[in-house]
Amino acid sequence: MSGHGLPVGTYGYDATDRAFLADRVDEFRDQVQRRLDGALSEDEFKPLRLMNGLYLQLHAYMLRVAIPYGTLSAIQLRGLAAVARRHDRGYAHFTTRQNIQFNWIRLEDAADILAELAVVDMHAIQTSGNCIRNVTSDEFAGAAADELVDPRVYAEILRQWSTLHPEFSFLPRKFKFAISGSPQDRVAARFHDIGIVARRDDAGRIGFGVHAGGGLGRTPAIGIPMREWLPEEELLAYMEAILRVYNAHGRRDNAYKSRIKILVQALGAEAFTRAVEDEFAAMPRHRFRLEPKTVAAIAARFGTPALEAPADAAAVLAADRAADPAFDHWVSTNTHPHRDPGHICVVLSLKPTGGIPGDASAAQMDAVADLAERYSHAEIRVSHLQNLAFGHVRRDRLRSLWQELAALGLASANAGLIGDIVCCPGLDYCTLANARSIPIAQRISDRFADAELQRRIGPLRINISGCINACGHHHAAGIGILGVDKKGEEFFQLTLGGTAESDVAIGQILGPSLPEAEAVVAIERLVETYLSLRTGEERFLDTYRRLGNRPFKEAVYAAA
Amino acid sequence: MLRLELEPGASAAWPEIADDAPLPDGDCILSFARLRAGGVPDRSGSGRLGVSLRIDEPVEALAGSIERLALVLLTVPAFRDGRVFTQARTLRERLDFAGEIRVAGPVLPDQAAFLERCGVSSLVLPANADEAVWRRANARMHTAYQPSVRDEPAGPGLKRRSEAASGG
Amino acid sequence: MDVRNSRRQDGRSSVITANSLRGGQVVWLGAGDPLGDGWRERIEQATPVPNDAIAKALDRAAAAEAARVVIGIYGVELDPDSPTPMPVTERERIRAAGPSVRTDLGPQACLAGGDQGAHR
Repeated sequence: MSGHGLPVGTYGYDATDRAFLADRVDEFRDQVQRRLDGALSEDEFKPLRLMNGLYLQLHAYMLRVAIPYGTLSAIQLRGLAAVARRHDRGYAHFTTRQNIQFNWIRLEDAADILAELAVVDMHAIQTSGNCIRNVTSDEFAGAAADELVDPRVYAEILRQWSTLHPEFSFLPRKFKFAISGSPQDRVAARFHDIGIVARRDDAGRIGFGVHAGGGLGRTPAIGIPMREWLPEEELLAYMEAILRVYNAHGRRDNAYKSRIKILVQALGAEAFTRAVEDEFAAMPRHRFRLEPKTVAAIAARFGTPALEAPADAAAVLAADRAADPAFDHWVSTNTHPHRDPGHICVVLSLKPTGGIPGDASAAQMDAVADLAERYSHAEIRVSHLQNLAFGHVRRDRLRSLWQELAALGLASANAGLIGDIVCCPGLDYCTLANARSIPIAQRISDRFADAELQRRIGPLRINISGCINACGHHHAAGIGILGVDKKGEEFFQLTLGGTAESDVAIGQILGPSLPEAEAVVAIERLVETYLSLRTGEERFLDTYRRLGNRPFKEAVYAAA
Repeated sequence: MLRLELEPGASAAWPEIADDAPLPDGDCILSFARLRAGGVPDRSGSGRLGVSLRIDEPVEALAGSIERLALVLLTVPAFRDGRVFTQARTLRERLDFAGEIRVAGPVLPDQAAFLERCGVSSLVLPANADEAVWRRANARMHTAYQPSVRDEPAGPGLKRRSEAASGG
Repeated sequence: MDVRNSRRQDGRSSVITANSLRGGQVVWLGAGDPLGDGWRERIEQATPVPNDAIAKALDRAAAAEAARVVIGIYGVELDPDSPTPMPVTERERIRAAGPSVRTDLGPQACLAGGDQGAHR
């Protein structure tokens, strides 16, 4: 399929990349041994294991494996399935940052697992710790009809640049990048420490819009614009300048105030931007110049799909849709236009009714790998909304794919609807959580199981976090749910009106937090209120913006 | 006091001089505060001069006197405090400091290579340090994806240093 | 230690918990040597300690962390009304049983004869 035998859609490792990973695995094996021997204290070992993706959670160690910018080959997905079987309990969890987590890992096995992952060119480097984390991107990258620039090449450049960066591996706090190549923001760029939007000028040259200081968590903030147009060759120099200002001046005395967003707020947008621009002007920029030949060398490591479809592919799909309403509904929610008229992008829902959002069994992972080989050039994407996606499916073969996905429980027609709930692992797994987030997601999913009802409600995102760290991105949803602890009991706080898309907004607290059963009833009332007050096809978000929170607040709290 | 040389010749012990003590003959280290208050003393013929900086003292302030300094001692308060990497790199890349950069304080063996690539010349090791562990940790990684302050040949893509490229 | 477990009422009892350093699994301090076989994978095997004696018991157990047997030792208060050892907080109940959304996994599954992985 690819011109040079390279995997489609993922960066193909060369011998040097593999040698690097082998060194890194040896290094970690040695670090684990030093911990077990007592040469390293837990305090010293912790940042080292975190930079290799290893947490200690409620029940065991958890290993978070990087899925760079959310792209995987079928071989890699099978490698993940093998780890789930051999070292875990036969399943894993796809996260809101396009990574995958294994929940039942032993420290003694961790280096062996990393060695097994290295065989399929995967790693867990910088999936945790106070360093630059996995760069996230658009799940439809390289395929979407509305894309201007393929962001994966630049995401890979940022991945390589940030990997074991000598200056920025012990930052005040974690640091997250997202990059999009489409004017339609599908990566929540302005909710990241640095959000980059790749674009082209009138001459076709590539440059970047850069935002910094965004984030969710305890203090949600929308990133400030730093550059409207950063020329391609200055990308790395400018990132160095931002990181250097943050590393030198970010707070280190209080973990809650140590993200770059707090520095931006403390200095003010203008002074922060000036500090970065001063650093940029003074640094030896030639040393960080991103040469066109470097970009070309990285781009050449990506296999490209040979997009060949029969002339009547679109007509076949149209006929298939007309013949089967259930298929038609699924196509209308779970696909996205492809740049090639004979192809289409597909969302594989990991949100079955009453299921655990983002969880997949080893058997499902193997089956998806097989389907990817047969339907989408052996390539799989992971979205930050905890679904999987195929980039390049022929339109005339879509119905056949849909039937196979349905047999695997991966064809819920709910992408972007109320059943497509984003949810962190919560108190069922996570040591930081205050409340369980999965059970309330399951109850809401059950309550709105009716596909017809979901379609009538239309686009409505529910995001659930089990604590203020906001891994479930609750501020970025039309309806956000935050688990809180009230004297040992689980309560849930609701926020309304958030979105991470181009009309970015932070959700606002509706009122006092509620016990779980009441919170589920409150969601029902919010939806009923929306359905009774909306005009025409108005989205939930637009009804909320038009009317404010008053009718919603009354619906939830007046009857109580 | 055990030191790890990250580049050849960075080895000698330099006494740190209290702010109210007279300068001895021979090489010595003054505090940043003393240097800032009194300027760089004339040492003609009596030894070289170094300066000691705390983690929150700005290396940029040495710009006017950097040519008369032979050593900068950076002290790390905790191994998690990564400001020292920016201090060292700023000395090399913005101030073009060519002398010795020495780091003291609780750093980990696993950080030695990062420090080296930011331009640090030598490390004052903790008491009872096993130098072999440090040397092994520092030699672990043979590939780096970024430029460091040291001149390293650029490889394909972003890779700057590899066994093949460095002949090692 | 988790601050949610530092609240203790007079007259109640607590058990001592941690995670195994090598395996990561949840362990509870029962009869036996804290540096050896004293740590068990089932809360039923833990030895309850009256709350007024728990601080001293935690001090004694701390040697197991220094000896790299376990990591993160703390006390967990028990519900005095429960016939079997039952933590008062949801968090510790989940640690003792396993994920509430996967009853096939963790100690709760062993009771039912499932989750062989827990015995590795």
